[in-house]
Amino acid sequence: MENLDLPGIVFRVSIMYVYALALLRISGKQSVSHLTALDFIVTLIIGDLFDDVFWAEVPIVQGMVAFASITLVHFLVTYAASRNRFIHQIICSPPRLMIQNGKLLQENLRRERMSPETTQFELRLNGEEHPRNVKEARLEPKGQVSVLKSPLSKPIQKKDLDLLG
Amino acid sequence: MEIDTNELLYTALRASFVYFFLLLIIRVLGKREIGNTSAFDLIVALILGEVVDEIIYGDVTILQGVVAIMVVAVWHLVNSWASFKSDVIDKITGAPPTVMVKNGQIQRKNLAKERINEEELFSELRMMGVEEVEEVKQATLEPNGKVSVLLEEWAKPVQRQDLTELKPKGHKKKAQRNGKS
Repeated sequence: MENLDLPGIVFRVSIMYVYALALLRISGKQSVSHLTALDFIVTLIIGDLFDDVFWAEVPIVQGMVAFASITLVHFLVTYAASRNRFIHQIICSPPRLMIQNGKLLQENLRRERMSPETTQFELRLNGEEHPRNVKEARLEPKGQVSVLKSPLSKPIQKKDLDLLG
Repeated sequence: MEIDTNELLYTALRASFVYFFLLLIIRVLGKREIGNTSAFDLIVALILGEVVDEIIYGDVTILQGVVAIMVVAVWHLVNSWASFKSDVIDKITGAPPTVMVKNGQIQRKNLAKERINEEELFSELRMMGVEEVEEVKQATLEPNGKVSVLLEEWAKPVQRQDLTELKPKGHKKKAQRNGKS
């Protein structure tokens, strides 16, 4: 490795930088920035492909092909998933209801391996103390919890001012 | 494999050097250039993180490692400087925001372009506490991959100014009622 020449490094790094920029632009920003678990792993893989090229452990062309292949496969999979509900369900785990009308859905919580403590802190993170104020809480595909509050505990919206008549 | 105590010491030294060198590079690049601004920025951050392991383990010399990191950093600086200076370059290298909901209507064409399923859109809206798509004036997928939501006027949270508008009306009604009875 000691005989790696510096101009060679400059050349390889530059080529790969421009190539990555171009390829990501063509494939659309969503290929990596809209971070589902799959997007995240793909991003990590892509980031890991570069250094081997920089140090000439693999030829530039091989690095380019590897990058393009991962990007293309990911593009095709996410494209298919956006068009087809069935494929989407295979790739992304569907949102799962955890609380409905103030009641914990024990069956669903068990299936997602969510303990009561986890449920509690997810509610707190959403500024809610007690399940009774929740209309629907879901574990979303990205792993976050969404909380829709019950009609009575929802923050006031402008349309609600009409209630004052 | 035999472990040389000297080699361990060098590894510690190289790791420490890399840490401070990366710290310097990240400070020079600035917070908008690294990490969170776009998909590509995230990749660049990952590249920087991956490049350093060969330096730490001594597979490449410090000089070689420094050159590689500097070249990535310089290209990235040039890129962000160029797209700041020129709208054309910004359009070529950066991704524009995509409108996903406009005036309560889902923009299916744009969703398809970004390969986003409707389910994902609803999931995003729920995470922002939005129940009905009708409440949304505009939902946009921003260049950094996050979703922004602007609500219709009637669905917005009540602000203080709304209460002051309400006050005189309320008084009048009360007065009328009192007068009648």
